Amino acid sequence: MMSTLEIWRAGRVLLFCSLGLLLAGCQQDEAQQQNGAVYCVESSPSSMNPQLYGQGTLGSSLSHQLYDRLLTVNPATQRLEGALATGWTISRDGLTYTFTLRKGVQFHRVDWFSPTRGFTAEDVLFSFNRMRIPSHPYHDISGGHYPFFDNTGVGQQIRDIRKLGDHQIQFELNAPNASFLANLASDYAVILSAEYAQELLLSGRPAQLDQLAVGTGPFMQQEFRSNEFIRLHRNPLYWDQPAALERLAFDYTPRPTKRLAKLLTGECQVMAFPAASQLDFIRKQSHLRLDEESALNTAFLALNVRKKPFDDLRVRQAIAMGINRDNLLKAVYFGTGEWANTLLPPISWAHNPNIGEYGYDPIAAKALLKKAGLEAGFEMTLWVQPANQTYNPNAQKTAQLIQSDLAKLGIEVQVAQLRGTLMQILLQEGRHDAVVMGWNADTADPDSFFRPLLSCQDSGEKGANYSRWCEPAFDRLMEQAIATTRMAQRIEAYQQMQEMVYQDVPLIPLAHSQYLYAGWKNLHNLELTPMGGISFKRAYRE
Amino acid sequence: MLIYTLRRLNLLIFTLLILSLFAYWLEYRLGPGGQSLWSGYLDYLRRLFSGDFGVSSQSGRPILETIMLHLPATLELCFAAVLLATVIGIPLGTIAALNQGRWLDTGIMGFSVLGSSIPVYWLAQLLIMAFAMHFQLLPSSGQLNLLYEIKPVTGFMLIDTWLMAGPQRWPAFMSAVQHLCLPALTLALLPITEVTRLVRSSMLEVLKQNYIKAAFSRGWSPLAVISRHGLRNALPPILPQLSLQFGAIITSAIVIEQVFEWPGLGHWLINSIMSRDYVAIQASMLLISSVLVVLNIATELLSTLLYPAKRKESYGQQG
Repeated sequence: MMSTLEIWRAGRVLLFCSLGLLLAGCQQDEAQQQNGAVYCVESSPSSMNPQLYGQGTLGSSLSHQLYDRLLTVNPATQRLEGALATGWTISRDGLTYTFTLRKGVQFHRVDWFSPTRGFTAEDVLFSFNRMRIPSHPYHDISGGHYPFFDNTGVGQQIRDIRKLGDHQIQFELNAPNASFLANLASDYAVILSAEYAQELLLSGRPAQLDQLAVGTGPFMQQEFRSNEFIRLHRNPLYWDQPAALERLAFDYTPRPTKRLAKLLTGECQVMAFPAASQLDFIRKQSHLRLDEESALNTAFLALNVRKKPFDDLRVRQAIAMGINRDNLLKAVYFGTGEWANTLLPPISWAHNPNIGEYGYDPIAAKALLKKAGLEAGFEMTLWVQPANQTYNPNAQKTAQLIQSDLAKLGIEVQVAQLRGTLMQILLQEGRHDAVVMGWNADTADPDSFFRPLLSCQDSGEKGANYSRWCEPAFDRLMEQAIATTRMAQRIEAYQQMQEMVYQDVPLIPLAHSQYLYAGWKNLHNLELTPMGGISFKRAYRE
Repeated sequence: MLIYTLRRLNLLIFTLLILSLFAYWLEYRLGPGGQSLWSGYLDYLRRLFSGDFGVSSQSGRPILETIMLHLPATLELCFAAVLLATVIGIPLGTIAALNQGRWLDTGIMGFSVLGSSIPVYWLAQLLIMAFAMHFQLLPSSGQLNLLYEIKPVTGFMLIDTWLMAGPQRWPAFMSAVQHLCLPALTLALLPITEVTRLVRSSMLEVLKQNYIKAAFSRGWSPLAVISRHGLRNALPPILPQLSLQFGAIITSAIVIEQVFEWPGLGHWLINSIMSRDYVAIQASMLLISSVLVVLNIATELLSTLLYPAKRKESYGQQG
């Protein structure tokens, strides 16, 4: 048996060793991780498959790291280019799209899957049929909801998909649809491996398809811990130029102050969504960079036109003139937003620059209210989502500013904050007077703004048309615009539609927000995806 | 002694049963109904004994697997804190005792009072601001730089990084040590103050003894006296009180893990609460409280075994 003295001696040795180790350890390690980057993000996904994602920049980033699509949007020109498809032809009636697929594309070789063949038309067939055909064995795995495909109706647009050969595939549509190609380039239209899916089905583990990813993208999944982190590493066999970064990690950090702290200490090299109030501080740091990019989003105030007194055009116009948007841009956006006159942001190709604007004019607004017989003012409730969105950094404050602006017109506004899902249900039932809302476009096509937000079809119980505005002439124009691929005609139709919205004011556009991210200056060549995510495909560190 | 042990074990079993009943009651009230309370409870116990804690509604993975993923991180942090508390607390307490009544003693005791009254989450923020953000000496959160590829062997980051091969080994190990520094220091503060005070009072008692005076009169240096006679007699009586610190450490670890985003059980528990993952909340609550109960009773038993004076108390209780 050990005597107390021996224990004491051994203890002393241990003590000094650990002290020495702590002293040596408690100073910053200068060895930089040259060949990797950590991206601090605000949310954590529930799966690794973008087909299942709703709107969000993290999903967009993951989609571009792990997967490829048939087509891609060139960030510089906003035009469509081939990715997994090398070329395509459209039949004269606009119903048949034939794609030639890229040869020699390999799926990820990972611990959970070893591909035996490259990418073929089978994979395209599987990826779309899974979402589109309710009887498909994979349709109901992971819930059976495909937000983007369900909301845009892409599934219903497609009549049939045919494999013409190993590297040729044909989509047949029910009706001509000019936004079809843009939909194929969206973050959600990723190509999965049919071979992997088949293997999982045979071994009885189909749910793994959406948790352990196998794609063709520049990075491969390594480890995913929900609410903690995602680790990726380089795909050495990427069909395009393989990425320069060997490792990439997404660090889930919900609080912006913590994200900034990690950025400063170098625990991450890129940070998503810097808070508007942090921008000045970040600009002052010599080693940090702040990138702003115009984005396809709009924050707006939707008025329920089926409720009194908002059924009166004069009241809606009065409210539009009563809101001081300059003030709003300063107090909420801290200079990272643009004044919005129409639903479509200026970077959209169908934006109408000649639209009039409802400037801040309380006197004219009061006169309009007087004409409408509401000189004494009225009471209304204004709903607001508690969570901040990309299109609105502080929805709560926006509502408060609108409240104080409208008080000057004699309108007494009560601001009500509701939880996301509950609010969604009540909005669709049409219980609201007005709501501070916004929209991120899923694709660059203008249809992705107008159809969900203002069409008759979406003004009922299921849609996102919270103004509950239904104008048949507007819907006719919208259908005309989607049925043709001739740009001049489409632009003409969308500009008319913007004019109609301006005249009838079912909703009041407030601002277009810019996508922002902060990062280290020595990390180069980050690319913003159209939906505000970041692609690290060509990034490198010096 | 046997009866004492049996009584303690009995207490342990009943406490654990009550805990599990409470945990089941949570599930019973919040989850989808169906079974009666008692048959459901028996079923629940059966599942617990076979290691089936259910499946997380958030990640879809078995709870037990997730617990095993997070438990080592918490243990690593707690061990580091205990180590720091011993390494710093014992010398501080001894120095204070040797300088009783002088400014050094007052200073150390002042620090001890201050340390035990500072809220840990506030101190954590302060340390992050100073060491991570201002001096940029240490990372502010996490357990390891995410870019290192570590094969999980034991789940303890220090051991796993030490075991890995290749040129990344040393930097990865250092990264793990650095990430441990701030959270371990914060967590250790409270026990440090406790250890300091206990060692000081125990040492004062020992210093009055004749054999210490004899040792001094032989011309031994204070260091020799303290290390040969002082500590060896001052430490054993306070060992049981020291091990009681474990409970306090585990509870404050939950808060500290949150601030430092340390991927342990506490962090996971708070995340589960945030995302209303009732199965996970129930399992982690059960686990943490069971660990606390077991630790407490084990300490009591151990100290009764090691330190006979305490045994007299228990005999006294029996009479």
